[in-house]
Amino acid sequence: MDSQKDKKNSALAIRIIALVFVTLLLSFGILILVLPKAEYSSLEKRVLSKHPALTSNSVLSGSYMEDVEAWISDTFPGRSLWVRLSSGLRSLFGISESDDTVLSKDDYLIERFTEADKSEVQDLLIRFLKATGISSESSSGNSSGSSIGGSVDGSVGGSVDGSASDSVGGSASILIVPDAVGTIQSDAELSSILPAGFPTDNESDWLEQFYSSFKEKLDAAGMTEKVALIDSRDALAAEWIKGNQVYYRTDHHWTTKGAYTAFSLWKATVLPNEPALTYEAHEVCSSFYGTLSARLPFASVSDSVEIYHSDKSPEVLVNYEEEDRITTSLYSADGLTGGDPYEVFLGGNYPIITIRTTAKTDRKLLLIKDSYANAFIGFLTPYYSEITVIDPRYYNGDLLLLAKQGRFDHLLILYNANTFSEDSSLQTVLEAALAGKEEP
Amino acid sequence: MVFSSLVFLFLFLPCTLILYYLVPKNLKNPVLLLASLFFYSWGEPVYLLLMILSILVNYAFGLLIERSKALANPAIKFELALAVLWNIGALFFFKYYALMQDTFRFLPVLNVALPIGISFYTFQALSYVVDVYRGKNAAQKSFISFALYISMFPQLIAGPIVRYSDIESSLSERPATFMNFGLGVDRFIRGLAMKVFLANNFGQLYETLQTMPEKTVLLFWLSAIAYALQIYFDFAGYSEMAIGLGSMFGFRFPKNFDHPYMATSVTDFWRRWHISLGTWFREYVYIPLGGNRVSVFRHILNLLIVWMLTGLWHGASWNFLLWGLYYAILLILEKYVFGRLWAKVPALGRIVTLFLVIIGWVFFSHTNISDAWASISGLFGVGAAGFADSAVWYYVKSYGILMIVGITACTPVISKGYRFLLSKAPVLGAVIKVVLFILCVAALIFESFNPFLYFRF
Repeated sequence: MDSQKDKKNSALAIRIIALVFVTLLLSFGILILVLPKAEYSSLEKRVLSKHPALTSNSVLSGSYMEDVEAWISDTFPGRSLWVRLSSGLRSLFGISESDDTVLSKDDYLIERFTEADKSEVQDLLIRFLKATGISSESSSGNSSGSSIGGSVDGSVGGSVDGSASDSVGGSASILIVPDAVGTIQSDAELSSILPAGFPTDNESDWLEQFYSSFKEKLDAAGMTEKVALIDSRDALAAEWIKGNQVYYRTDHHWTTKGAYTAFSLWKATVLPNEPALTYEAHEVCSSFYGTLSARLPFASVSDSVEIYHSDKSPEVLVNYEEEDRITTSLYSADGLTGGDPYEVFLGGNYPIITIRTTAKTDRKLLLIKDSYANAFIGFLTPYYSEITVIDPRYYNGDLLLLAKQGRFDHLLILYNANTFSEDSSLQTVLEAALAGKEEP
Repeated sequence: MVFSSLVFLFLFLPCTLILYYLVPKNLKNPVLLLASLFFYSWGEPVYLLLMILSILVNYAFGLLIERSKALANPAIKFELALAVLWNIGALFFFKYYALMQDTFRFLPVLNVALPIGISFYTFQALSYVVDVYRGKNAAQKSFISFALYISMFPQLIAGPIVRYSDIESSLSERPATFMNFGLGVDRFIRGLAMKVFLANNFGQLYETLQTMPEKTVLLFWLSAIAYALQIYFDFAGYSEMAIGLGSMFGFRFPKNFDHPYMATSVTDFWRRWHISLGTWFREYVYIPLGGNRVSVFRHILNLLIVWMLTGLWHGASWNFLLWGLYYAILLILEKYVFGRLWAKVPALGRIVTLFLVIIGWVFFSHTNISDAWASISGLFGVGAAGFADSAVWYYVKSYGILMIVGITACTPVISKGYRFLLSKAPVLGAVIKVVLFILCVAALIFESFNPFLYFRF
């Protein structure tokens, strides 16, 4: 009797499961086919994939099929709900990590730092500086602090007398900026804000080691005077302790305040005699969710994005060379409303940008950088007539040729420690630039 | 295409089901065949031709061998040899040529990519021609039915390896009941959950631990256990999905996994792990070699041959040969030395077997043999960075719940409890299963980590 009833019950359950399963398959199948496809996810702050082009090549290589899968996943009906459900379930299980990212005790999304040996890049940089002549005596004489009128093109260097003050701090500077975790020096303090036991390398220690070994190499090459190594860990930590937010909570970038803090330190070393400008902060975005929030959508607390403005800032002409596009602003309204509001700064990353300014100087700067520099460049424009901005992750030109022809007074390498450690494109670009071109 | 993908779940499967159940009976096989060819070409557009060629050749050999058998034509042996040569030759060329070239550098470099599923469909084709030769079954006259047997999408790319005689009758006549369909759905969801929740998460844990430059002893263990859980739930989950899908279309595929980590001996483990492969090797290699009805020396040789082949079947890399050899030695020792001890103390047998299997997976998971040695010595403290550190507790805290669920799911407890629930509280049971499916879909949408381990098989 009982087992008869049990069988009936089980059969009922199986029927329900099968019916609901088929209904879900059919209804979502139809929804996928008929619903318009979103192009942007505001929850995850990213541009979603699009329907791939159907060509015989893409089908035969299988890339079409892979792209279709990504496209369906990205534009799945009700995607944000599914994402919340799944990420909520993960945290319910106790999995605090998603794509190497965790939430700190003070509500910052923190990426795991993985240290890499960068001694080859150090060697390449030293060789590069030698090859460009930026570090040699004759070229440092080119730099000029005295203003010679407002000509944007500037006059050809070399004929202008260099003032004594310019040689202070050398003609190249290296600024590798810590991430939020890199401002914390002690392991104990680090583990007190991260989920207990979260394995990550100590970025602060790595930076310490990076700078000290670089300094030894510069000493050995006799270039200590010429190359300023600027360690911004303490300055950023001090601001943070004061209660000023120097990093975004949901993004790996620094805030404009953070960029300004590091800039002040850099200027004190490289351009100590130039007057400092006073800036006023303007909020341009009040609900900023950065790129890290896609990884832990549940945990995210929004931030605001600020732009620092000074009446004394010069006018600029920004030339996006690869696109043949010129704008008159360092800020992009499209960037602000697009996928990633941090792109308000220069509209994101480009292989090469040249910025001409109306600053009363003919100094020229070569800036090799990652996206951290985008928020930093605004503070540099009052001191240079021309800034050439190279992002090695996208640049594939001849850097040595560019550096030689550009008659630059200063070379700034500005990277975030995490990108600098993980990304190998700087090494690739430098190796390509130096291949067979060094004078014995 | 893999089952744990959104394109499969929400586009391919519903379309195939609708077409299949709408068309009249005589069109069901053609519909399923076309769907299977589409399924295969979605993942392997170019090698679709190879599979079709293989179908044609084996279909012809089946008919030829059967005719020779009826005529008692002595050419039958030659025909069988040709059929075997074709199948093994194709498998060898597409799967092992790169390894041969890598080992014997004088061979010319040819960039042959491994066609997905070739190891599975070749074994099915072989079993078919051999069984026709042995007279165990008649040759299939219908080309469509035969093509369907080789290419049927549920078991095409990762098994189970279905023997022709097991589904011969279903190819022409199969009962389509809603109950069978529903049981298939139930089983499919179970397999999907094993793959998406357990295998993918353990896989993620394993990958994260692999990238750590230094590990403590406990992390080496955690890493080995994570891999053992990943490979089981990945493979068994895939088999469950395949069996469930087969059932949705009225086929009954043989069971492929039977709680292997509950095995009381290594011999027992191989009766429970990838059963269809073990059966195949026993039927078509071990027994023809004489099995165990030969001298001790010959028996040991037979075991060595069978297990080295089984190892190599899992991938074209020398570590798989080593892994097969490892099992050959364990099985020989068990047969001639330890076997009786396990029979007396089953609990000891269980623990030792599990331990040996976990060690085996370390060989299996590292194509580089020195990496494998490093991981094994790490388990015993050699080359480890201490015994434990805070990272262990972090990962245990993160994955502890899933580990407990996973380890429980290695025993029959969960499926027994679920069957009991269905019989007592059917609506609740159904709701739980449906929610499980919905959570699987959510994980497929959100998580990018969804590997497919059998591309190398």
